[in-house]
Amino acid sequence: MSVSVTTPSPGAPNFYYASDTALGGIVSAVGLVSSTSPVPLWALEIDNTLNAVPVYVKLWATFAAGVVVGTSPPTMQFSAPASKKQTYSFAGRGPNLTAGLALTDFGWACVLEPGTSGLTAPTAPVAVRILFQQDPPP
Amino acid sequence: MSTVTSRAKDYGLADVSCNIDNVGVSPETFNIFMGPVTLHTLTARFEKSSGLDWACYLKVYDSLSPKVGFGLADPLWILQCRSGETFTMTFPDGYTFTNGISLRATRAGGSGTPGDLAPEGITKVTLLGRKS
Repeated sequence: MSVSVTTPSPGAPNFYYASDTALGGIVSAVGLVSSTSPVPLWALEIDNTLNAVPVYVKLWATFAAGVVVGTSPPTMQFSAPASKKQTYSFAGRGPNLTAGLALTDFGWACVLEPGTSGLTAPTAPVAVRILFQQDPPP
Repeated sequence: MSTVTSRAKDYGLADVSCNIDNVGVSPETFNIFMGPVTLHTLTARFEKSSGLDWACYLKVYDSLSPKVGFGLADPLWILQCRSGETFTMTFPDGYTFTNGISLRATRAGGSGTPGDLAPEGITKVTLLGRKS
């Protein structure tokens, strides 16, 4: 079981940071501060140093409660090689995580299988951190 | 239809860059660097030209081809590209593709055949890597 925590990034208005110390095969919700603005990603770190196989972090631009891991097609997917901490950094605004819908949260999970199918959680904990931006609510 | 418009190795440089003027869904852009490569940057931009779709999904494969038999391989990365916005991914230490880089752009995320249609617009991608 893991918990995603979203906090404002100190000194950087509209930037928010979410982390999960053991993201697994059950979708976890990342809370948003604005329900309508897009969520450009700025950085993502996947610490897979404890696992000897690659892992895949999947993001869903929909309410986390409606996501079925292994069935719902992920909006975005990133990987971390075996036994490695992988950092993704985006120069300028990164890809937007948005469905064009009003969302109060988005979902993420970490599994051993790429693509839509697969819901096998990593054997050892995978810590994941994400830095994203949201404009303040109107 | 995709076209690789330049390769730095053609000019004798160790680093390899490729500009792809339109990543397609079929035919896909496959084995761009002709084998293993360590990727340092990926820049992508989607320009909507018609229809209702406001984004495309760039799928990046560590494989010589996204196709396996009559099916599709699972992508390594899935990147949502919003129309009119450019983003760049950087890897200071590189991200090693042990087989090769292949790309596809589709209308839907996930993998497999659902939503596996060509985007309603042009997807431009620039890659900078170093041959392994």
